Amino acid sequence: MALAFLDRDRSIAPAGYSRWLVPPAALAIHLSIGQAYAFSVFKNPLLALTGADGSHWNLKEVGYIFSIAIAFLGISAALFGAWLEKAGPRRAMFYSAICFSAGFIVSSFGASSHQLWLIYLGYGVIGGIGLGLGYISPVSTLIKWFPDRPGLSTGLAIMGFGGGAMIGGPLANQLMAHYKSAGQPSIPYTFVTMGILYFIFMMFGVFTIRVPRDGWKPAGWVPPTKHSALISDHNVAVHEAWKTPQFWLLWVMLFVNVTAGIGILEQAAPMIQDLFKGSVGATAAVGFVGLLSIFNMAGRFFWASTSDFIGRKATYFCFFTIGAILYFVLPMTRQEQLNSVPLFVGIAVVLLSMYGGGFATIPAYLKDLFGGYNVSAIHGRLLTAWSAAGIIGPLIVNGILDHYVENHMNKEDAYPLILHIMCGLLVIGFLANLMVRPVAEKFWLKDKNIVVPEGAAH
Amino acid sequence: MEDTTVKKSSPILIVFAWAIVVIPLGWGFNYTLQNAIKLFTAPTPVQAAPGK
Repeated sequence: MALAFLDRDRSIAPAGYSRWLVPPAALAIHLSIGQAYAFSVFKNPLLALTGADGSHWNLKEVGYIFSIAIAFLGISAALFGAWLEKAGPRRAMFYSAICFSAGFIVSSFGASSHQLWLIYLGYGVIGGIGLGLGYISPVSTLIKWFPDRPGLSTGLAIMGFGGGAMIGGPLANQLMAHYKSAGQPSIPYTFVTMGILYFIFMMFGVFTIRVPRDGWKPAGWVPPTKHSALISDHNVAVHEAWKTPQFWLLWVMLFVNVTAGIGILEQAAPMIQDLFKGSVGATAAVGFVGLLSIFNMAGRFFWASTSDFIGRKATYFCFFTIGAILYFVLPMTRQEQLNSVPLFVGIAVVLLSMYGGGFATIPAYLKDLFGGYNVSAIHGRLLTAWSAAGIIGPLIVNGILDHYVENHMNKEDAYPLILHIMCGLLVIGFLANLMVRPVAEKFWLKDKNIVVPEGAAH
Repeated sequence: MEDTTVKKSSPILIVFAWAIVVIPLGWGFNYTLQNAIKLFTAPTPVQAAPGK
């Protein structure tokens, strides 16, 4: 195979290789591709660009860039998950870095020539494929290195995706300010610079990642003989997994959890200003968005690690019970009722921690139910729930808000309805989680010749 | 059987690897935190009209 140094065989860890070198490799990838969450910093600068004919792009057209990227994240994760199982994480990470960086470079041509389709193709399609490949590439490797703490390990990596916006947002702002002050085209130069910087950063992950040797397990660790019935000792292949009710129940759970989170994320800054008119200004609203980012990231690590102790089903039980209650009471904190900004903020950050936690705990839930054999591929297919939520969530939120505005109703009265719809969605998630049972024997992998290492695939 | 005489990864290498990802994350976290603090320190705008 071309670029043989990327082969799985070349990335097998030598004896004595510390497993604590693997999470930084995964983080390098996720911190990079997590930049996608900060794409909104480019919105206003892109809107300000003028074409040769004097034309401008509108908000809706620019908004499609992020939507296309998230759609291709889900599509590529679903399509390439099975390939990743064979090719190994290093090759997948390398291609992810190529696509993600190339997306920036292609987009820079689009920005400089005022061709929006080039940005759709670059950041949206090519970059989106990089997002999908990068997102799933380290997951099963981490589970394999940390069979004793799968939630903690995947939580660490997926925390990086939440944290990526914290780096990508200020980095883009500072680069654009730098190029603008130097009298250079700020967006194209920023895109090129970010493409190069992220490529270098992701290469650290590519060359640090290692897969453990077959049969490796942590020193002194003995697989527990007694555990929850939901933790399977058997493996399910990806082509069987998606035929099981458990896959679709988890799909629904991820879908509703993400959709509910989008209910806050999509309109966070205007929502807090509308609900507390005169009390919260634009600057404070920016602070609110920052606080949500921090809890979105921290929740990924906290909840995924907690799931190692209380179990995945119990963790999602927390998300769907506490979450539903909090979404229900959140509108009561507004100005006309309790008029408590701290309470509103406190509830919102807990909800966002569970939004992040839902993303980070799902790989370990999949590993429990389907075994480690094809967990990356199964995870990839499950991420289509994210793509679907990325389309449906904004449709619900923006659709209701537009309806209120078009009918000259108070916009702030739309938020309780939106938040109560999210509460209802979480109840559906609660029921789906309740229905999760161990996977039936007919779906188990029968081929005894397939070597299934301790922990997970690759 | 595990070979106990093999050369283990250097702790310095592990710290260095973590530093590569923690330093940019810390920079971004600090930037975000500074913004988040504005939620609690931003001056309350003058009320244009009574709440209700």
